[in-house]
Amino acid sequence: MGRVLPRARADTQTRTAPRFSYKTTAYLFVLPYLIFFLAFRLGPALVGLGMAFTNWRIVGQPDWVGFSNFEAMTRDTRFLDALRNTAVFTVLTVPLLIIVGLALAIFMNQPRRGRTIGRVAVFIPYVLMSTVVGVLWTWMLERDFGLVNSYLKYLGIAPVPWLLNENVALYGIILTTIWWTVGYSMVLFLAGLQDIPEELYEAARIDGASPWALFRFVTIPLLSPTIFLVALLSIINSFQVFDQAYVMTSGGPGTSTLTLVQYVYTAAFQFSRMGYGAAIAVVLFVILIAIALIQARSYRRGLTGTMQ
Amino acid sequence: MKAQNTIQTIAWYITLIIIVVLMLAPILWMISTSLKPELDILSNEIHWIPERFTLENYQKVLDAHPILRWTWNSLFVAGVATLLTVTLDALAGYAFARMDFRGRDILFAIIVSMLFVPLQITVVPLFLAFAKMEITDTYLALILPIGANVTGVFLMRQFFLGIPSDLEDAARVDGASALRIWWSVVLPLARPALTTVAILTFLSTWNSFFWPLIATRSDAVRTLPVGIAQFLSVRPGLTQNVQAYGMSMAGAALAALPPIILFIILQRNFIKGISMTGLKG
Amino acid sequence: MRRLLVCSLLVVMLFSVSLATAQSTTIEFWGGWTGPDAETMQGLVDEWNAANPDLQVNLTMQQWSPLFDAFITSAAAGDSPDILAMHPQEMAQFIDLGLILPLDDIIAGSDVLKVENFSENAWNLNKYEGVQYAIPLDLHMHGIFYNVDMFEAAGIDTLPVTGAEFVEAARMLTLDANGKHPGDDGFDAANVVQYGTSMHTNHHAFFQWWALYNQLDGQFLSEDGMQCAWDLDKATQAWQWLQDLVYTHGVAPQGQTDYPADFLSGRTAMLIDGPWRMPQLEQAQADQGFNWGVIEYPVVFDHPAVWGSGHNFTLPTNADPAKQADALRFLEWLVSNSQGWAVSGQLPVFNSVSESEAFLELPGRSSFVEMLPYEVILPGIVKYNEIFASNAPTPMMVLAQDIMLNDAEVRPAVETACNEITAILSIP
Repeated sequence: MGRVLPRARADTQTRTAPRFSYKTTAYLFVLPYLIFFLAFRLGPALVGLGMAFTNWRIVGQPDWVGFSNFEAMTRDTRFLDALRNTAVFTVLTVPLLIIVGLALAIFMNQPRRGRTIGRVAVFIPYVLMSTVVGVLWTWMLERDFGLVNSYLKYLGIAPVPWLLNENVALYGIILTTIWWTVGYSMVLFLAGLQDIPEELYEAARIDGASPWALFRFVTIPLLSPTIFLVALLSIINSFQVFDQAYVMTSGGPGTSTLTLVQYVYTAAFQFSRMGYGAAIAVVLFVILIAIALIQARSYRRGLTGTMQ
Repeated sequence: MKAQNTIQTIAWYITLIIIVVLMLAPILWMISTSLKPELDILSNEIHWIPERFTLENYQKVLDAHPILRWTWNSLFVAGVATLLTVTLDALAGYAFARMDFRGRDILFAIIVSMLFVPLQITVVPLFLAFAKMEITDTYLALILPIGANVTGVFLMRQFFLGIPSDLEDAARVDGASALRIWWSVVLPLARPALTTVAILTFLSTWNSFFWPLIATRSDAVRTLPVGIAQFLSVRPGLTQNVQAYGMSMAGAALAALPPIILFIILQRNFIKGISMTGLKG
Repeated sequence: MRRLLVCSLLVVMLFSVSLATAQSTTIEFWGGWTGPDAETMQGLVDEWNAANPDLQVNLTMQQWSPLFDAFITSAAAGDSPDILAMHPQEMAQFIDLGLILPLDDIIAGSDVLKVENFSENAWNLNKYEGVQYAIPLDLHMHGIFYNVDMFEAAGIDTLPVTGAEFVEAARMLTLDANGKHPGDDGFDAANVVQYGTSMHTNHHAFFQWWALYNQLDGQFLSEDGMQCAWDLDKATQAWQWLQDLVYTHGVAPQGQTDYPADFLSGRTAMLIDGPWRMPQLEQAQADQGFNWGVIEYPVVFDHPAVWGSGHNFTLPTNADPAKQADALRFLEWLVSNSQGWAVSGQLPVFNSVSESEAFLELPGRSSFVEMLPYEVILPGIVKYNEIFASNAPTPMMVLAQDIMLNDAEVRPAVETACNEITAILSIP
């Protein structure tokens, strides 16, 4: 039953007993990937971790500075802004992706002609590259002539200064992100829905369950692994949001759309403060790992809860 | 009862139309804008069909930027990187799922934990290493790091955990080697997973922006996302200031159409492939 | 599957072969130009390459910010282009990192690259602490483009010189749907069809502030360079004048983004912009008979001062020393042939070019040339990027957007920004 996260799959672990005992063969299978992984991912990441404790400016020799980069962060209003923006972005984007994605999936799961067109239309934005999405939505959200405001005007709503106002710019980017990626969560939910045996619904219907009861007591519990998966993937992606914000606003107006990853980029590259940028990335890593662990834990607890 | 059904059907189709229109409107608007002369673009009226139709924006953007070259670079890099990744991941994923070796679980945990490390942190060490090897601003610099991708290994392992091992056992009884079994028994079974990893790798490489921005300098290897980002700025680092929307939209449309067309042709595989990321364990 | 693998291997091999091409002497030249400027510069390089088969120049262009990212990372790896273009105010950070060379000794033997041949002001802007670090190519600064037909329609026959005259002209040029001006009875601020002037919401807003603050003789940094030393009254006064154009006088649109499009479509009667805009305006004149002229940036306070900058060439430290002479040879040619560059609108600073009839006859140039002595550039300090960068949330960017987009109360915003600048300067 469990999906994806290793911890959540304790049951399958026992089922797949190891098939090969010749260890050299196993290493030969793993080795090619491992070389790439060590050289291009783990190695650089460890160097990056080391940099977080230095004042390295990319050029010249790094000096060890202990935890002073991390101390500096607590006094850095830019960093705190970036942390807050990223948190707000995640807190709003993740539930929206789950709710809208699930609603779309349930809708598109109905056995009616035309649903394929619907699925394709919802998924299409996901295949676009981030810079195209950024350029396109900068134009969509243009205050005076953008399509969104033009239609709001028809509806008698005053134009929203989307990317020009620090109180709404982040929402503009959230809107863009939902449009861009909701197709992905819809497809994951569709796959999850198709795994729920129809008999369960029929049995419940015979017992006189209302559609809401079906949704609440059959769909949701059986879909919880998928919800968990979508939540985890969107949290990881949301916390690392960069491209669209960089293209659309570069963090402005003011600091209203500055995100953690953009600040990593800004500190490390634009300001040549590699050590400080690396330290911010380390903080981001710790936050993400903590969220993943808490989530995995509550998920397992929830899972055992429904099983019993 | 029947009447209720009809009402439901009509409601469903109306909703469907609304959803389709909302999702596709930005893309159609992009195309519509790209076909208008610059003076008609900033208009208070909404004209979905251009009043004056022009291909001038496309011509200007193709003249000003080597978009075809960028597209080819993107295709080539994504294609080769996908082949590389699928091969590496199918091998490693199989070993992680089916073989027992010392340090397997801890190794796998380390690999997965890299999902949480922002790429930005690895960029400078990687760049310095590549510069030492004198391969910055080459295709190799763009392709090699993709081979270290984590999701693919993860998905392959999940897939191999989920399929029964009877066939492999039978082959082993016949005395086939591990590599032989992997090649002729396991891989044919793994086609859905291979497709998924291929699609995801292709998409993420095709879309990747940050590393190519740093690692490429010349149009000869620059990829499409990095090129497109340049439309945004005509004067020194303008923020929030798209100029010449017609040209921007023409460029964006040129970049958007190939993946959209590819997706529509392959949509069944695509959607099936993507939904495999929620693999059964 | 197997065939695919073989194919991919073949492709990889083929492309590694194609990398190893034969070389004559080639020098690497990096610049951050985009759009028409990029085409112009590429054209000049092509012209050189055609005439000098022994010395080929390979020009790499991308936006300034990623270009500098790439420059720093490459330099860290011990590899640099032979020539790097930049702006004078950006040099300090690279000098501090030891990435660009002091030029005094290197150019001592050149007959071309010496102060006598250049505008002295431009030459000296490229010194840092008294040492020459760059060869100037051009200067540029803000000026005011105006729509001649609209000025005639509004009955303005004397072009504005002072701040008050500028505001009054802008008021006469701002029209609501009934043809009324701001300040008239019954003026409908919600239905303005034509604004007097454009007003920046991006980094050009603080460029303008810098001009006005200089008109008041304001100081940016303390003598030791470690603190923000703004005169808060003057800093506030300068910003207030800009903010008032939008929010008090109502003669400039709020939250404007596409300045040149608004000017060309007649939404604004004036456009505050730089000489790089002239090729586009010339084009509009040829195509649609768009009638334009240039006014000098207004003297709002005590004396004239206008924001400006320029392009220059530096020689990176990690470049191949053997190619230095070649790089100089190319630069000598480039600056002394910069009349080709002048079509981009930038003002050449090589005397024989800037004093030539051919240059001065180009439309609009003379007004910009008049402003050359009053040009002020942003402080070229080591932390330039952390304080001024336009594509990062720097204190100046945040301040500009707070004042021009959010209508923030000026004085507290100025104080906050000044404190932030001091905080940034205190980071070792």
